Amino acid sequence: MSDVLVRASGLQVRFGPVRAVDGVDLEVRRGETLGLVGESGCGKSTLGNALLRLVEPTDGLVEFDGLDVTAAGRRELRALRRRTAMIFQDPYASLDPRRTVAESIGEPLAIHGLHKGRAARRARVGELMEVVGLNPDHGARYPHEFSGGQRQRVGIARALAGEPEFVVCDEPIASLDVSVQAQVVNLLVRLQREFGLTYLFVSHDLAAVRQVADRVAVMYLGRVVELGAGTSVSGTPAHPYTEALVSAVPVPDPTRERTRQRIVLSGDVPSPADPPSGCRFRTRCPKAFEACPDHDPVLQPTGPEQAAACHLHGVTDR
Amino acid sequence: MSALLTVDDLHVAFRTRRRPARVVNGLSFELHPGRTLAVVGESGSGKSVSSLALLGLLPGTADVRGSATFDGAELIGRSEEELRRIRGAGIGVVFQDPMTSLNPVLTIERQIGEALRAHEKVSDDGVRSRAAELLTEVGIPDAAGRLRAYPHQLSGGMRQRVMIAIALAGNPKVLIADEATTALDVTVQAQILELIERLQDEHGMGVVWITHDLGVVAGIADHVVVMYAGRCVEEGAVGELFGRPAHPYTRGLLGALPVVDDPRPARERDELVTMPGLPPDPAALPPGCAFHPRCPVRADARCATEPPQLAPVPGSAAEHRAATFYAEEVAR
Amino acid sequence: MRAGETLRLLFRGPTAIVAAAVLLVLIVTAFLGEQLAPHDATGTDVSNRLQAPSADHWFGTDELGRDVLSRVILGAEVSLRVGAVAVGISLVAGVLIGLLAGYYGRWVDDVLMRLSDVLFAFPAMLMAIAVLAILGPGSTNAMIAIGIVYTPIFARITRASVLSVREEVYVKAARSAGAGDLRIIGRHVLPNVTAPIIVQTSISLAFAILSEAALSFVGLGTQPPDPSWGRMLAEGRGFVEQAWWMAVFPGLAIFVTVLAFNVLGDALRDVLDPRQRQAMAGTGVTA
Repeated sequence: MSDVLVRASGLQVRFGPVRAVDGVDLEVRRGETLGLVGESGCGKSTLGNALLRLVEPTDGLVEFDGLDVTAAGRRELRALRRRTAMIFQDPYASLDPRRTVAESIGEPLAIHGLHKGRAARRARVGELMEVVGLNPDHGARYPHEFSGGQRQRVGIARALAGEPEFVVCDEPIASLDVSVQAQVVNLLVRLQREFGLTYLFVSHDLAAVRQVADRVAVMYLGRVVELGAGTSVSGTPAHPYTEALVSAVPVPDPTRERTRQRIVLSGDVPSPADPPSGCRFRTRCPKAFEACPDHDPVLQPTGPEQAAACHLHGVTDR
Repeated sequence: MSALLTVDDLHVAFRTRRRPARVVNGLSFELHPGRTLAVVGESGSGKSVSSLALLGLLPGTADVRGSATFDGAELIGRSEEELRRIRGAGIGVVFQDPMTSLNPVLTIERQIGEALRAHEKVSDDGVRSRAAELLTEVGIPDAAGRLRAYPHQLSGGMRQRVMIAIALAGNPKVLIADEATTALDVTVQAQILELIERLQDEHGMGVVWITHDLGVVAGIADHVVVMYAGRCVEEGAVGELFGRPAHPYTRGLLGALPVVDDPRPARERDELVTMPGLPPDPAALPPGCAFHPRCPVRADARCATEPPQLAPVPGSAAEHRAATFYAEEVAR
Repeated sequence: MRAGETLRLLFRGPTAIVAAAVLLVLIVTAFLGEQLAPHDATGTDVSNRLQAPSADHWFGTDELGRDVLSRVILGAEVSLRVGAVAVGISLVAGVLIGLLAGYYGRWVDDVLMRLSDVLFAFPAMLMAIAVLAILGPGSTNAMIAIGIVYTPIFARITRASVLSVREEVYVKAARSAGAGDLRIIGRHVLPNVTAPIIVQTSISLAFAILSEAALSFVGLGTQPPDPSWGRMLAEGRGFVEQAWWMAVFPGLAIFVTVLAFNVLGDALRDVLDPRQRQAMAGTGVTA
């Protein structure tokens, strides 16, 4: 059994002229949490969706446990959907308002014919609700009767229903209050350890990503610009963008927050429909030099368990 | 030094079909020139409603009691016309969502111009040059060109800069920033924080920063007010409040935050601190201390009957106060 | 959002209650028809013709001596049946077309919606008359004709709602769990587009009854001697000066029925629109 559960190679997703994901190579290892961090419009959510083929890649390859996801037919894809799941950002939008939470949680069971029979299914749904910290007696209620945090638990229970191996968490805590965020983060971590799940944790919040992710991939304008162990990426960032990102995340400690070196980037993110030549970050990079406009950097090792797409570590070209 | 803005025992309740929703329940604070006051809380804590109350921007279903004075003038109970004059000349506001705060069909020049004309008589040319100056001041390159742009042609960060320019149009003494960077990416947030700090230095404004983000507060605030269920549960100088949080809620909030510069890998980290349950429904506040049903320290008979008042935290400076019976236990 | 809550909000105001009560009376009348009618509705009695309203004939008699009240009562059955079947046809066909066009988009949408544009472009009456010219007159064909005429409205309304529901995150969530198109359409899309369809059904019933009356009025709908409000109106037209009651009572029946359906439709629209609903309920939901 290979160490890699999900592999993307040369993955590309375009929406018209917009290159949302523009040539990404990425591996998700069995049992790990890979954090995917970046700012709005960098393509992180699209990448997460493309790995599950919830958006169609325009080019490149996605493999899940050796199976070619990009070429999968209807039946293969359906079988694959049992082994994968997604947790969504907005717990208000991701539950069908007309279905009870038990119906929502049980839907994957119905689709894949698991736990057949009313009693068995009800028992399984109750078990799932308990696992995520919901009262199993509340299955007959509708989503609007729950708070945001509880709804997110419903979404998590639904994701776990088919006993998936790989779960894409797409900004799972972004619309929750701080104290509820912590509950959901702890729950996700606990569930991973309990069920041996593999996570792709997509978030704009580097601090949250660091809390859950073993490895972190940083995206900028459709590309992965840095990849490595969580400790290295936030401790010793190798890409100037990562460096700026890490320095911009506020730390809830006045002494450290006021003495930290903050790198404030100038300007705006360029349009993903018309990315700059060479390195895409060069227009805002405080360390850009002559090589940057002419050469498009590839991810290259910068240390053990760390790689960055930056010419500061040797000029490369795709 | 006398306070620029003083809020004293502010109450806001919304009339609903059922029981009134008591959203702000006796909030008091002072803002001094050149200082930054952070009002922190989660959604529903009343932090935004209290700022809207003193700006007179609440709907007619809101009952506002208490006092708020700006430069000695009472704000509560003023007519719309008087408030507009005070607001324009003295208080600038920046809200969370720059897209909905700006009118999509008017150019940036028109919108800044409107703010300028509200305060003084200016010619068209005067408006244009002053608007361009303001845009330059908030760090927008090619200001003259951007004046002709419409909001959708600008990025989120740029739109928020425009909002700040509009807020600055009346040379305000107080700037209220209501979740002003919440919708922005962190690198853009860093730009806006830097900008506001610079403007504060240059103009000596007092800033009220309303946010849920304790990280931002740690970086910019002088004094912090933590709100829960419409009350201030703890306040103090930023160093003391973060260093020796005395209210279990403050402590819980701080523990709930993952820290980016914690050197440990994810698998070796402790679980985040969580508080059970949810903030209370403002239409059905629990008796006694509003936090007691969630309180991890202790909840005894007293908590359910007697609301704790803000009192100095033992061992801290006098201005560090907390509304809990167990400040010493928490601080330990 | 459940049926009980919907009904509670719907019947908070008096207008919806009155409208529903009127419709209930009409439906009961339609079902009981013969039993309720004080006289034989089709039997002629020339000696008793053109009698003004009296204790024996509350609504008077027509030119063949038939009791107008009895004919209005039996006409209710005809009108409601034609209206219900016609709207049933357009509801089923229109919703199906709208679902397919909205959900699949692209060429399916283009073909189906262009077809319904063509139907839509003709004035409704002209279209119905054209269909009846092909099928021949009669109340069954009138139902089909009216059903065809109102299909595009349902198709459009359904499609518009499907277009927005299709993009909802919960639809994507179902897809990510492996749900096929059939399941998504049946379990997630259809239940979430019902509100505007229910409203339209109520309003269309009013128009369908009006159309049936109009078609019968011009002789293409219900055939004599069956009583139909439209037909009675047409017959009464010639006697307006001698016997106003012949036209006025069936006219009133049409008016009241159409008004009741419209009022109920409006009330339903208010209740089923989530924004309206929140305002009516007083406060938002805090769970």
